[in-house]
Amino acid sequence: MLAFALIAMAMSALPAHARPVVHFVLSEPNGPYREVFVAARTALGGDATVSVGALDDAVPESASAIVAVGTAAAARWAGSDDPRAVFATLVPSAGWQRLVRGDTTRRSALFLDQPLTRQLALVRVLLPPLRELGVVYGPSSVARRDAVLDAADRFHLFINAHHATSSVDIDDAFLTVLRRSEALLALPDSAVFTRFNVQSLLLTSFRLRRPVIGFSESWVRAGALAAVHTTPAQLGAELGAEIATWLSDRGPLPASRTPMRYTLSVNRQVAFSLGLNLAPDAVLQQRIRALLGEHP
Amino acid sequence: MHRLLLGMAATLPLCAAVMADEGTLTEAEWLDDLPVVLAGSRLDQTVADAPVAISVIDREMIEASGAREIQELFRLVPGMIVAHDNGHHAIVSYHALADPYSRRMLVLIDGRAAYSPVISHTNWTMLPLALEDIERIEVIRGSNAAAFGANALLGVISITTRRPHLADGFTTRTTIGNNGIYRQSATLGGGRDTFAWRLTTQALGDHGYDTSGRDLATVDQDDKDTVLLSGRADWQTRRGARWELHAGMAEGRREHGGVNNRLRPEHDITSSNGYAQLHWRSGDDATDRHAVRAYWTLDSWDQTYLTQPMVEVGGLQGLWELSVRGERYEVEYQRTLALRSNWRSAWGLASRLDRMHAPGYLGRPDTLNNSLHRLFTHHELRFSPEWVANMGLMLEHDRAAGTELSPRVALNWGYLPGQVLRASYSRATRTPAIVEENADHELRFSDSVIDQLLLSTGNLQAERIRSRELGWIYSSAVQDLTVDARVFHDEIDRLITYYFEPYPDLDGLVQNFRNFDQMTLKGFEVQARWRPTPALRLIGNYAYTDIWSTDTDELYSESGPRNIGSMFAEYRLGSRTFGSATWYRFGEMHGLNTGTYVKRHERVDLKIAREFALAGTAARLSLTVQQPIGNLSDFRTRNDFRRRVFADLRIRF
Repeated sequence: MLAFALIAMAMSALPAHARPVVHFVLSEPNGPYREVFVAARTALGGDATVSVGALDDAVPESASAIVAVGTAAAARWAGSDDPRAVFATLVPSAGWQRLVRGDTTRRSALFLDQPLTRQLALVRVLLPPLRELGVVYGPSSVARRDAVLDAADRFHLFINAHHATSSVDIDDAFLTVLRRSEALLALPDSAVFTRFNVQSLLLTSFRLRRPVIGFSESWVRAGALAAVHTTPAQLGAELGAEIATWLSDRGPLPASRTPMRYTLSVNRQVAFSLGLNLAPDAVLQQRIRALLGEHP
Repeated sequence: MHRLLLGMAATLPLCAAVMADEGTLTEAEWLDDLPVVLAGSRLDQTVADAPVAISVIDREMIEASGAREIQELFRLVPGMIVAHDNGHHAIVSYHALADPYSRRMLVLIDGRAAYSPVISHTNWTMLPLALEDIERIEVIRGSNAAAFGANALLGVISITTRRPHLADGFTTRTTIGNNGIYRQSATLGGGRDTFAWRLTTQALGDHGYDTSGRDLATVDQDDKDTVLLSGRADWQTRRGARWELHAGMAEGRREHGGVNNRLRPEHDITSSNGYAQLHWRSGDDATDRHAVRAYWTLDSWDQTYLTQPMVEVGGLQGLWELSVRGERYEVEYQRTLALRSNWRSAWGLASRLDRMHAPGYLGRPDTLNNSLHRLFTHHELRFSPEWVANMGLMLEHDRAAGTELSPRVALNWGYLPGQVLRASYSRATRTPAIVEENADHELRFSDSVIDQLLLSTGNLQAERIRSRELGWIYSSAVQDLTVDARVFHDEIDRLITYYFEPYPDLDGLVQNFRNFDQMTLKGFEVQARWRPTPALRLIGNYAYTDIWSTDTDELYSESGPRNIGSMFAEYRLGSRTFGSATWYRFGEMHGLNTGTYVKRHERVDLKIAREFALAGTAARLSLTVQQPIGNLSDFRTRNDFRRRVFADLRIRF
């Protein structure tokens, strides 16, 4: 809490009269939440007066925009009737629509999720000869089934899918899908993947020599072959720039979306053990961009 | 990370209320740390980076194999000797030194030493552990005392049980077959992400080696019945610390002796084996982790009986006093620390107290205590993506055997993607078993008529091994093929052996123990795992071992087969049907102690299984045939293993 007080004091010392106030609500004071805040503040530059507080702290009356960082803050502010503009980030796309209350045109989120085309482009770049990709859906991720199939069409991949209803089924579902597929794509779903089962699932995939494409850096560290993900600092910078643009005309809020910026993480030890001779990260990232038709 | 987890835990109820029917998907799914994949030694490593050769028997192999008991699985590991002294006494050793009391392999279950405090062997058929509860078994082929200490002389078998989160609901399993084979087990589990528990109960038994068609008066009985109850609960605190509580107990009845065996008439042995363990871990797996493990184990059996009246001693009956109760208490602390991005380390210390009450074996009515203290460290240095060095050191002080140092150094070179060469050198020791150091065992007919069977002079030193090995791992995702080969050269000296010396008793002889013999094990072994199509999996193992020994006291040079090989094939027909075939070939050998010369033999196991829905439950029915043709004798010629057929039905409610 002391950190908050110091930051708030530092902010109050700035000449703030004419500039709009943007208030950040952090679900937690440190760690990734703070990384988002610091990067967003930098991106906002002199376009706004920035203040920050914890979940229960009062929001300044003068704030024209509230930025909720993390699910708890988003639930509090995007889910409130407050008429002010609310931006949220470090939140998953699943459940966002139901979370939003009040004037929905005054709510915008920059999600943690990656677009599926980006994830499948990664699969294509890492494993060019791959034909059959396994996906295990859970109660949350099953909503992305059509998006997965669309993206798979684009990259000429066949999807072996299995729908698990809970972490109890995941063991068998995972094995069934792994056996039929050449690699597996993990999609975030807390009902399916938990801290407790990911280790044994990755172990199984390792034994079967099937690479797993994760969705976060933690997955890659734990033994997934690779992942594309957006770091908190990237989210912060992107959102900061977006808010700065919005502040210039105060028009309608941008639509909620997945981030443009992302990072590629590859577990080189796993790649090595699987006998994959992968190009350096920068080259892989370049190939992903080329596949997606993105500008370098 | 602690504060982060704390914060996330605090926010979860709110999110859950908002998104109850979506599952509580939050940023935690992206940001939380996940455990690293493989546990090869004291550090979590991949096989390619580990300083030792490791064979893994995973859940899928356990399910696919025709194994009914844990020890049968080790036949799928190159160089492993799996045999039996009788139907309920399994022998597991590596390359050589097969003995009914094989005591040169360390067996760990969830990190807990599972060998007898008294005799140092593992009572495989009495472990309070159901096959269904095993997640994976890692067999470290080769000496590994630098990481795990005494008893890891020839290798380590590390068994990891399933996390209780995978046992939600109720599962029953019924096995029935010829030769009195039966098994009934039930597993009940519950809980969710931060807390989960599992309870397993099992009754298992069989009639041992085949006696049909043989004169019952000339064979010994070896039926067994075991019941067990085991449980595990995992809890993750809001601060991210993880607690595991494990507890279990097995009670067993074993038949022993024979109707016409005058010295060992038919009788029952009642055995108890139990454990309780608390394991705490906190911190980041990748950068800094503290862990404490505290456990208690019990290994006891009650075997007191009389011989038949012996005419040789005027019709007197001798009293066999073979009951043993051994308990072990151990506390271990380990810290795993990333000193730099390319330098990971682990260090820790442990203290152990072994308590033995074995009046018949030790010749004393009181409880004998022995303590062991150890200090260990392990370092993994990655000089470049291709070069990894591992260094380990174990310092042990055993009250009975003194202080020993076990070092190891290994260098792994990944010269091409998926191909690794490994060179390692290690020194290891085995501290004498309590019974080797303190034996005073007699067969008493009267106060004056005694046959002294064992009498230790004591002052034994620890056995020593010097191991050198060259390993090669080839792994190709494209071909779906892994080959793991090693050439080894092990020199063991100060082998603790039985020998006879004159003694003024009934037969004028007594067995004593001394550090006398030496042996050298040289050879190579290879394991290949290949999946040519997604439905077919093939595993091949072969080990060639050349044993040289001074053979002064025992025939060590014949205590393991020169050639052992096995082939395992599993085929999946659709997603619900699978079948497997396993073939073993075991060279001739002469086991130690009660072992006899056994000729080369082969064994075949066949299994077919089908999964189906049964009244709203998930069921699986399997049929296994072991040794469909012919018979075999392992370890002792009297052991007659013939065709065994059993069906198994698993139902998940």
